[in-house]
Amino acid sequence: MDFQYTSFILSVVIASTPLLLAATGELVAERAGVLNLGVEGMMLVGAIAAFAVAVTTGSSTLGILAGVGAGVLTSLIFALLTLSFLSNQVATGLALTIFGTGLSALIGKAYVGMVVARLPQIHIPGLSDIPFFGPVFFGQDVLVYVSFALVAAVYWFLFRTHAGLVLRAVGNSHDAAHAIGFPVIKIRYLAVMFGGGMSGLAGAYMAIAYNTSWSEGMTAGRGWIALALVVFATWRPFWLVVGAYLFGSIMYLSLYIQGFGVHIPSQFISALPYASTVVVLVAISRDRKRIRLNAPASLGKTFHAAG
Amino acid sequence: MNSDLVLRFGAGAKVFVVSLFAIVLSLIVFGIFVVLSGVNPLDVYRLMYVGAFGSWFSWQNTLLRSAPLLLTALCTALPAQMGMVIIGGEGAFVLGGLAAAAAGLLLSDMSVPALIVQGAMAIAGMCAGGAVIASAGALRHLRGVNETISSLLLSYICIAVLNQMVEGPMRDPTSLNKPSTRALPDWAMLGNIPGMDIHVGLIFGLLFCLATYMLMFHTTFGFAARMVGGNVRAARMAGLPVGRLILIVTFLGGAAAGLGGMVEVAAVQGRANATIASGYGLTGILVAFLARQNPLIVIPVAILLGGIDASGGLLQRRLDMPDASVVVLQGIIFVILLASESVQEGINLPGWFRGIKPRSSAVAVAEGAE
Repeated sequence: MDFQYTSFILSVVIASTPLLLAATGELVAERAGVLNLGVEGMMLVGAIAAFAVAVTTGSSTLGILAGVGAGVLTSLIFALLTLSFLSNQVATGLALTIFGTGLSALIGKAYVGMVVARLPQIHIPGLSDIPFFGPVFFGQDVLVYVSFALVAAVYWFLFRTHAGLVLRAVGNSHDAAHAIGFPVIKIRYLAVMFGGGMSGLAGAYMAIAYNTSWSEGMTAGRGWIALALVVFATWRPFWLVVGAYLFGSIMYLSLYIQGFGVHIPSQFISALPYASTVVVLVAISRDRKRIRLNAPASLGKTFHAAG
Repeated sequence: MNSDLVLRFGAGAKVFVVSLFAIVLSLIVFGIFVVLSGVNPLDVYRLMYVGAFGSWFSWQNTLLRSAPLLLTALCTALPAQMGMVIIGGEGAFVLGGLAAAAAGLLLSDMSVPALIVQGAMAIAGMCAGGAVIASAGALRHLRGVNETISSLLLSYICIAVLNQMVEGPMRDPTSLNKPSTRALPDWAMLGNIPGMDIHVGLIFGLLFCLATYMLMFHTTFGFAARMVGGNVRAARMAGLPVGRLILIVTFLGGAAAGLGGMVEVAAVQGRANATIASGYGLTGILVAFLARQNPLIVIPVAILLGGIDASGGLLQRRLDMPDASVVVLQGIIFVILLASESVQEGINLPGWFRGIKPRSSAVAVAEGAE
């Protein structure tokens, strides 16, 4: 019995980590006022870049770095279009998803059927051998710990540093931030690139830790769930952890519930993340104070410096 | 008045030229991708033309693929006239298809005339699709919920409902590998346009575009709706029923996409299954943006993208290029066309894009005074 609990928790952690990584990046971009709907596309490009490099060099580390780099580069296309060319953020994000889906499939054609070594789980002698607690707390792969560290770092950055305050100011009122003299466009570029890097990292996780092979469209909508997650967490970093693990458990359950012989409509379960986010949206819309506190007021609006 | 007309024509011509330039540029960028994958780009261009517009056969293929895009684009373009960014077209399309299949199967068992079955399917599809998008509109109006995010979420819920229904209650037990509903009887299916190999869904799409263009730009209703999009508070002050306008227009948008789903079921697939959710909704959003949310301009844009889509098969067969190549081209076209919009408006580009910085009129006046 104990063994089953352990493997359940380990599976949930693996299902939740890519969601948490991608959502953390998107949260920073949205806090700066940029709605990037291209998460799915950036994840796919990150996934194929990480997989290709990991297969070619045999190094997971280089693969992960390649995934992050590819995510940043893809997000630069978005940043250039929306921030410098002032194109619509929604349309550009969708275009980025289509482009990333196509590009990753095109590159990935040569890599179908190959297998890469799975990202190893850490092993601390003694600690990792404790039953249940060992594998759960001291036996995950390194990116799981990185994902938690990054959430804490993002929280610290956004709410405990001056730069984070500036970034939130830009997201709340770009005109006011601009009038004070903050470089709105530059800050948004950096926020979008961070989001891209995190999406790329999430894609890399999908390709070399969640799976060990490449398949077309392998992120299977996780980019969209990450977007829902940011809203679900009402733009607060620590709530991302709650949401990511909730949504991760739901995804795991909807996949495996049939195997348990339980007659629960599995497709309805897979819709739960979206449905619960709608409920959260409706609920917070009643509480005007909370919206004002957390939702970036300039989200999705194009900034055009007058004069 | 004449000068106004000239001005409008001039602006239109400028948009046309810049868009054409953007498409040519996209083809060049795509050519670079093609060269990198070891294929002669000139072969690709030639085959794409042949596959999309080279013969009557390929024209028919192109028009077939543009039909659903006409309808899903309206799902974004109509609410956009009221300043709302709706991206739930896929959900409305899917739920419309499911509802149409349900209505069609129910009525065709009762041996009623084909026309009534088809009419009921169309109405069911439009109502289901309309309800999805109208609920995003209602959430926005009543609770201030961001309609972009809520319509996206609703869209995923709709896809889950479709999967659940075709895997559960509505499943045909004989569809083993690919869960589907029962097939519609042949007599209940939508036919082709006389003399062509194109189903009547194309006509639905064209009529919907023309009718909604007239509605939005040549009636008082459309004027009121666009006024809400321009300035909600002014519209309220003028006594316009803002909530009702939002509900009607979002319903219409959703109904268009839902009709698209009905056509997919009643003319293409013949049944509802997971393949209905194949991305027409997503592409439709981009068609709407490229058409600048104008229902009339949606028509040529949808045909262009339908053509690119149609040429994919030929590229795959003749040059052994992956299916995804045309998706990459679509992505590039979207990206470059979106960028070209601000180039023609000439605003806020960084100095190194603009070349010479335009002098402000104040400087020019000062110099003139010297």
